[in-house]
Amino acid sequence: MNQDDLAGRIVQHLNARLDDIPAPVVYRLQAARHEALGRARAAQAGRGSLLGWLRYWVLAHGSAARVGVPAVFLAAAAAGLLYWQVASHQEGIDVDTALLADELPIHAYTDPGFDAWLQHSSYEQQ
Amino acid sequence: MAPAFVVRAAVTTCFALLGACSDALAQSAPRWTELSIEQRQILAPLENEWDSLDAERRERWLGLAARYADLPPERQQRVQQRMRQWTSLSHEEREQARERYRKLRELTPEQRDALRGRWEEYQQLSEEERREFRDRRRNRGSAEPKN
Repeated sequence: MNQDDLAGRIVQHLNARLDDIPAPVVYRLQAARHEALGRARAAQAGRGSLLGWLRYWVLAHGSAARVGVPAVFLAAAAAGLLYWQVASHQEGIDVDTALLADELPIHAYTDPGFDAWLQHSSYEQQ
Repeated sequence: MAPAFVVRAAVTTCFALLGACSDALAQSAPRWTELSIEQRQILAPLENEWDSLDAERRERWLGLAARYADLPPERQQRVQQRMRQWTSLSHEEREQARERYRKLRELTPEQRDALRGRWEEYQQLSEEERREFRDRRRNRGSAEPKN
């Protein structure tokens, strides 16, 4: 007996027993089919948007998504952290340069008394 | 298992990247004799202490030297005059100065002119009066007048 014959006999057997399936089982099979079709339609409809496409892709590539999405987010976070470090470092050098070149002496920025006096004299003028 | 492996690999990569950055920073902190002639001319006031500065501070000075040529002559002169004073400050004092500068740089040119005038006025106070204001700020964090 080849595979086609075997498959044919199984289908024939299953079809012959269709009428014997209990009503609750038929109901559950129908409900499962409706649910599966609904999900497929929703995924298909959502593919128009980026988020929908992403959702469809994640559903279609479950294991790859579980690995790839966290990896992409981690890589993006690492790149962001590196960019922030470099940018803040450059900003610090800009501030040092401007501060040393400023018309006000360095003491004006380090003397806490100057700040206190500014507030004091502003208060007196009010 | 696979996601855990990827997370471990990503974390390891991040640490490797940070390590590479530190190494790059250490290597970008040359000794005085390794500086270019132009860098040595700009940073001349720091010659005696250059090799004792840590890598991070040397790297900052090199960044400043790279910006130096874009400054007008009078500002270049100020930078060179203040280099030694700046290195003599503690880390906390430098951070405080940077923080105050960031706040004051938002002022308009007119306000900055006025601030320079106020600094001159403050310099006219006696040392004792200035010390009193310093103490007020250190003790109370604000300068509410007594009278």
